[in-house]
Amino acid sequence: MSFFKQQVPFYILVFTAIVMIVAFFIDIPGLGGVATELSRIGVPVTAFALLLGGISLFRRHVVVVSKQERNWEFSVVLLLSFAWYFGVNVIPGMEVIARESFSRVVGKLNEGMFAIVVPFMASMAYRAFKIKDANSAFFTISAVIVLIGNAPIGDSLSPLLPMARDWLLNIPNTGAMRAVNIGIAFGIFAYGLRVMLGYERLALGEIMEKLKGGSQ
Amino acid sequence: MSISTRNIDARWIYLAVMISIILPILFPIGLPISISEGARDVYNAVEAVPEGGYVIFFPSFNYGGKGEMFSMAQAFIKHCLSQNLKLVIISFAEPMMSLIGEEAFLSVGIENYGAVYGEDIVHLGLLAGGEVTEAGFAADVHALVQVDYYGTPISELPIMDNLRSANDIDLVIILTNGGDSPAQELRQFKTGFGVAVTGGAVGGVYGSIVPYIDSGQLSGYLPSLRGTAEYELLLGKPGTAILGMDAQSLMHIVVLIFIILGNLGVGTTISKTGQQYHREVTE
Repeated sequence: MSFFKQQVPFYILVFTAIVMIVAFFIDIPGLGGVATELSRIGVPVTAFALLLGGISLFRRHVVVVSKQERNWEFSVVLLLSFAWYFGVNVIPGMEVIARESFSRVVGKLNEGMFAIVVPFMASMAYRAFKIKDANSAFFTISAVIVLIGNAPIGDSLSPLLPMARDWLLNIPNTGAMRAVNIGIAFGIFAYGLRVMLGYERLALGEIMEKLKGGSQ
Repeated sequence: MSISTRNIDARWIYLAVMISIILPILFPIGLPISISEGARDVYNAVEAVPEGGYVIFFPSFNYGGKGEMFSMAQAFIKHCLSQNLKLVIISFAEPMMSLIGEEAFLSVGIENYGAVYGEDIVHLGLLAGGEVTEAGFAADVHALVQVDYYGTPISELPIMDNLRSANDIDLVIILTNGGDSPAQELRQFKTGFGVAVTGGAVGGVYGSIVPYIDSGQLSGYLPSLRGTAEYELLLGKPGTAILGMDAQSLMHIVVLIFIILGNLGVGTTISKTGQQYHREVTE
């Protein structure tokens, strides 16, 4: 049992990673088809992951309701919503009701929730953009230039405002974001390498420890 | 009673912002909107696609970003259909993006452009799996897609006959409100197959996408509602984005006023009798 629970997943991971990486960089006949087939497998795997997430959510909130833990009333609403949307999407002939109930309820709630962010951000701007030293002065002035430069009123006030906004976005912002993106890319590469080699402290990391006889 | 400009109750700010948004929508001002080079690049990217070319359209934003991005989606669909391009709508992230994609093309009214569903436009719905599925889609479309959003086999949809892989795609349009887009589309379509990529993003993430525009990987990108308004002007099809520009201008001025007030650092005290004033310099 331990072979299938521990070592097989590791070997599947390594095989898949090597195939996908090599197929991306080197055009080997036949390998592209294997990579495409592995990509196809990703669709039902992701669907199962969503299903598992839903089941886990359902089980957790059933426990909350049964034990009447804190805010259990919200869990009742969640479970009823879960049952409704699961039902209308599974029962044949309910597609229109499913789409309409989702877009008119969940969609509108979503839109309303994000609409609240706008005045909240204005309030945050009022509190956060305080000039106390050179750094905060640069921060605040930059924010004001982008704020006004982005709106049509900025074009009307001065043609320099959109130019200043473009300079801020294209020069300092681009330089900083490139540094961030490259750092993230290297981090993802390093993490992927560690996972493939089994050095991460996941189930795979534990497998490597056992394969090496318990050494770290 | 003490009033300090450095300590205004947030509710006054909320009220001022709401009024500054509602009033210009009810009573439009009509401020001029200049067209940026970025919007022209996006417009030209769509114009460069030959008639009958394939455009893959990813409406990768949820209902939270709909206020900023829906008019952008409509503008892109109108432009592609008026150019007689083959438009393929698909999502790789979450189900609500499929719903929004459907809402977008239904609200445009494809028949107004002489387009027929299944011949000029198709909605393939959600293919779960993120970038892994995108990679598979780019390599072999028919291996991943069997039916469209409405369950019709793709063999019955003429638009899918000549779409086999990313080699058949002329342009990718990606609208995003966060996440790894458009980076993953650049990796899978631009880097892998040399397909041009353009689109738009909400204002909050546009700053992180500018490096890709600067490097030439993206053929222009529209920033939020302002970019959409410029794009609508270029198209000659005014929409809700232009309507929102006056509100955006007034709201930004209101926010600027509050920022200035917050930095004034001056408090004014009015005595109970209302006759005496003195100024206090607050910290």
